[in-house]
Amino acid sequence: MWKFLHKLASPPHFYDLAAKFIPWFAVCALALIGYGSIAGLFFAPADYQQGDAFRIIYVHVPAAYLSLLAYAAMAISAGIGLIWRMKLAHAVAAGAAPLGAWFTFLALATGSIWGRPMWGTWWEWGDPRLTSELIMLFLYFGYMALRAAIDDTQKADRASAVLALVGAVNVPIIHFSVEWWSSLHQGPTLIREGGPAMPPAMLIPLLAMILGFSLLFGAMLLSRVRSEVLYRERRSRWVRKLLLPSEESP
Amino acid sequence: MEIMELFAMGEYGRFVWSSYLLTLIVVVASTVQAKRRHRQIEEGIRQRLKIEESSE
Repeated sequence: MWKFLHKLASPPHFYDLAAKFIPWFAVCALALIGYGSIAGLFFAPADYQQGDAFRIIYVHVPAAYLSLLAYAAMAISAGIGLIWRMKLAHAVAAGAAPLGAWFTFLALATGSIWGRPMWGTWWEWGDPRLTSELIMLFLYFGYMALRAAIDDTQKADRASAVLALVGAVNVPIIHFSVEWWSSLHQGPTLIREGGPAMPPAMLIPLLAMILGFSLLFGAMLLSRVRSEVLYRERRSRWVRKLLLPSEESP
Repeated sequence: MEIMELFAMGEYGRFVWSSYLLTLIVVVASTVQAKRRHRQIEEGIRQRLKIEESSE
C-alpha cells in the first residue's frame, strides 16, 4: 500500500497515469451530463410552484456542489502538503483553486438568473447563503493572488495553504446557512431528513448531473495538476527527456 | 408547435437557456484556459532547455 502510494506520488508516474485517466473521466462525464440535461430539460415534469424555471436546478446544484467540493479538495490537499511536506498535494491544491473559482462564479450566476423570476431580484445583499458563497469566490481569488505574488514555489505553497485552511471555516457556513439563518434561498432538497424532496423523474436526472459534473471536475483537476507537476519538475531529467526527446544525451 | 412549446419553457425560457449556455461557456473557457497554460509551461521549458543546450 505504501509502496503504491509512493509510486503514485512520484511526479513522472502521476503525469502518465493522469493522462490515461482523463479521457475516461471526460467520456463518462459527458454521457451523464448529456443524459441529465436532456432528461432535466424536456422529460422531468415542471415544478408545481416554480414551473419550468426549476430546470435551472440541473446546472445550478452541480455548480454549487462543485464549488464546495473544490474548496474541500483544495483545503485538504493544502493541509496534507503542509503537514507531510508532500509536493503533489500542494500541486493538487493549486490546481483546484481556479476550478473552484469558475464553479463558484457559475453557481452565483445561475443562482442569480434563477432568483430574478422567483424572488424578483438578481441579488440580495445580506442574504447568508448568497453572501457566504460570494466570500468563497473572494477566498479563491485571494488564494490565487497570493500564489501569484510569491515567486518561490515552496513559500507560495506554505503561505497559500494557511489561507486555504483558515478559509475552510466558510464551507460549513455555506452549507448550513439556509438552516441557521433565514434566507431567500430555499432549504436543502437532497440531503435532508426524510430523504430527497423530489419525485424520481426529477431526481434521477439531477443525480446524473451531479455525478457527471463530479467526473468532469475530476478530469479538469487531473489535467490542471499535470500542468502544475510539469512546471514544478521543470528542472528534472524526466521533463527534459519528455520535451526534448530527440536531443537526448546518453 | 409542440416542439416550440417545449423549448419555450413556459415564460421562463430565457432564464433556463441562459443558465445552460453560461454553464457551457464556463466549462469551455476553463478548459481552454487550462490547455493554454499547459502549452505555455511546455514552451517555457523547451526554450530554457534549448538555451542551456546551446550554451553548453
